[in-house]
Amino acid sequence: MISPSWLAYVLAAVVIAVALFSAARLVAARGRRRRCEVDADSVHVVMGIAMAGMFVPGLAVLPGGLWAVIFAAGAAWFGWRAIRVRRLAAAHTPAPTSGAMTSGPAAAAAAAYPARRSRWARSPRRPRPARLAQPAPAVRRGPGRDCCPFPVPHLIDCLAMVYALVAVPAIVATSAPQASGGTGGGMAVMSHGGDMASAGGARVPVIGLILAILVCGYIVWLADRIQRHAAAPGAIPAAAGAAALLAPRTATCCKIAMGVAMGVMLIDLL
Amino acid sequence: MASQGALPRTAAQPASAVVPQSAAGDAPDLRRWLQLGLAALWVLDAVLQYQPVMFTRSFGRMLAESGAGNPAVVAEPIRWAAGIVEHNPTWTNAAFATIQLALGLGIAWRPAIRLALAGSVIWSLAVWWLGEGLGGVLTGTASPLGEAPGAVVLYALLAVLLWPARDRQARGAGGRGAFVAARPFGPHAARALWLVLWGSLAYFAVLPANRGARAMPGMIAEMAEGEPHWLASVNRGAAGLLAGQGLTASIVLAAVLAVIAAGIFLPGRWVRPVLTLAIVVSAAIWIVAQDLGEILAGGSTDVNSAPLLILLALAYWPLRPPRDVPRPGPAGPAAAACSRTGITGGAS
Repeated sequence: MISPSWLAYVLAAVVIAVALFSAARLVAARGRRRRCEVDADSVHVVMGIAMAGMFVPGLAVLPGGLWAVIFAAGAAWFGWRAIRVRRLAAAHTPAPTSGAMTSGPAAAAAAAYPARRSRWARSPRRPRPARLAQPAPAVRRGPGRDCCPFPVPHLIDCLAMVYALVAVPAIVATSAPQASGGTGGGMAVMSHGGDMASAGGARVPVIGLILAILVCGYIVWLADRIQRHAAAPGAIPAAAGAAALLAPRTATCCKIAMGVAMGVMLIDLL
Repeated sequence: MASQGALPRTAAQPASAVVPQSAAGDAPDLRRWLQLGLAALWVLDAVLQYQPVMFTRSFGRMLAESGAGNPAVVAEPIRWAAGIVEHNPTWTNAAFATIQLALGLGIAWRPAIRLALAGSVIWSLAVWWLGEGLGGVLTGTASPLGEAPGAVVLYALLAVLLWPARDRQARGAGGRGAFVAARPFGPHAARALWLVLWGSLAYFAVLPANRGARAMPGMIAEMAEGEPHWLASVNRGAAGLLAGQGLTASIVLAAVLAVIAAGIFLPGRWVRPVLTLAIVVSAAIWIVAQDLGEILAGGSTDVNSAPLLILLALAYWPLRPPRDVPRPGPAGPAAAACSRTGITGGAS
C-alpha cells in the first residue's frame, strides 16, 4: 500500500464516492427529467472504479490492459466531441464585433451551444433570452445531446488514465490476475510504499508531469466556475423539454475531487 | 454544465447597456488568469506534498538542513519546526498538503479569494522561514539558478500583487501604462518591488559562492543526478559549455538580471521586450538549472522559482485598452478613463 496506507484508502474512498454520485446522477436525471452529462458521468463511474483498484489493489475488478482499452475508447469519444464542438463553434461564429464573446470561457460556452449563438448572430438587436440552464434546441436533438459541453478536460482525464495504465512498468508487472488474488488482478499503482525506485518509474515521465499540470489547471478552472452554476437573477423558468442540469455544483465538486486524486496518482507514478 | 457561459443580459436590457464581460465580473481578465495560475501552482504543490516520501522522517530532516549556515535567531525556529515534522511526519505532512490544496482551491473559488490570498501570504512567509531557511539569503549561498530568494516567498509576493483591490485602480493607471501588479499599491510601489526582486537576483549571481570558475557549471552538473536521460543531457551539455567560464557566466547572468530589474522603468513599448527577456531567462533557468523543479527526480515539494517569476512578469505586462469599452458620451467620463488606462474592472 501507499505510505501511509490510510491515504490510499482515503483516495480510493473519494473516487468510489465520485463514481457512486455519477451513477446516481445518471439514474436520477432520467427519473426527474433533468439533464446530466451522460458521457462525463459515465466516464467518472468507470474512472472511479478503475482508480480505486489502482490505489487499493484489493479493489481491482479488471486487468489493467482492459482498463486501458476502455479509457482509450473514452479518449477517442471525447476527442471526437472536442473536434465537433470546435467545428460547430467555428461554423457559427460571426466576425467578432465586441469582446463580449471572445474571451476564453465565453467562447467555450458559445462552442457548447452553437445553435443558440447562431440565432443571436442572425438578429443581433434581438434581446437575448436569459436561459442559462437550457441547451439550444439543436443541441438537444443532435448527437451532442446531454453531453458535457467541455470535452477537452475529460479527454485529458482519459489520456491520463491510459498513460497511468500503459506507461508504468510497475502496473504492467502487477496486473496479472494472481497479483492481488482478486478476480481481475490488482494494478497497484500506489503499492510501492514510498520507494519510488522499486516501482520502476514511468517510461516517459515528462508526459505524466504535463498531464499532472493540466489536471491541476483543470481543478482550478472548475473551482473558478462553481459560482456560475448559481441561478442567474432574472432567468426565466425552463421551458418544456428544456430541462435544467441536475446538481451541477455537486458534480463540479466531484470533478475537482477526482482531479485531485488523479493528480496525486500521476505525480506518484513519476 | 449548461450554466457555464456568458451571463446573458436580461430581455429588458437594451443592446447598448451591455458591458464588457470582464467588467461584468464573468469572463476572467488577465489578473484573474494570473490568480488562477497561482492557484494551479498551489494545487500542484499540494499534489507534490502528497508524495509518499513526504510522509517519512526524511522530510523533517530535509527541513532541518535549510537552517544550516543561518544565524541562530533564524536557525533555532527551523530546528524546532523540523523536529516536530520529523517526529510526526504523517500528520504534519498531511496538514501541509491539505493547507496548500485549500489555498489553491480558495484562490480559484471567488468567494474565498481574499481569505486564500491572505492565507497564502502567511503560509508562504512561514514556509520561507521554517522550510527554506529564508532561501539562503543570509547564508551567502543563494543563487538565481537555485531558488533564491526562496521560491515560496514569490507566492507571497504574487498574492500581494494579485490582490483583488479596486480602490487603487486609478493609481494603478496613473503610471506609464497600466499593469495588473500596479492595482493594489500603484505602479511606483510595484516597480520598486520588481527592482528589489530582480536586483537581488543580479546581486546573488555574483556572490563569491556563485562566481567561482567551477561554481555555476558544477551546480548545473549536479542537477543531472536522478533526472531523466534527456534532462540530464541538457544539464551536462550546459555544464560542459560553461566549464571554466563560471566567472564570466556569473557576470553575464548578473548583467542580464540587472537589465531586467531596471528595465521595468522604461516606457511602455520598451517594457514588453524586457518582460519577454525575463520570461525567456526564467524558462531557460527552469529547464537548464532547476530541472523543472526536480519533479521528475522525485521528492520535490514545489516547482521552484522560475514559473513564479514568469507569472510575475505577466503581472507587469502593460495592458491594452479594451476595444469594447464605451467611448465618452452617454456612458460618462469614467468609462473613457477606463478605456484609456486599460482597466477592465476586477473580475474577482
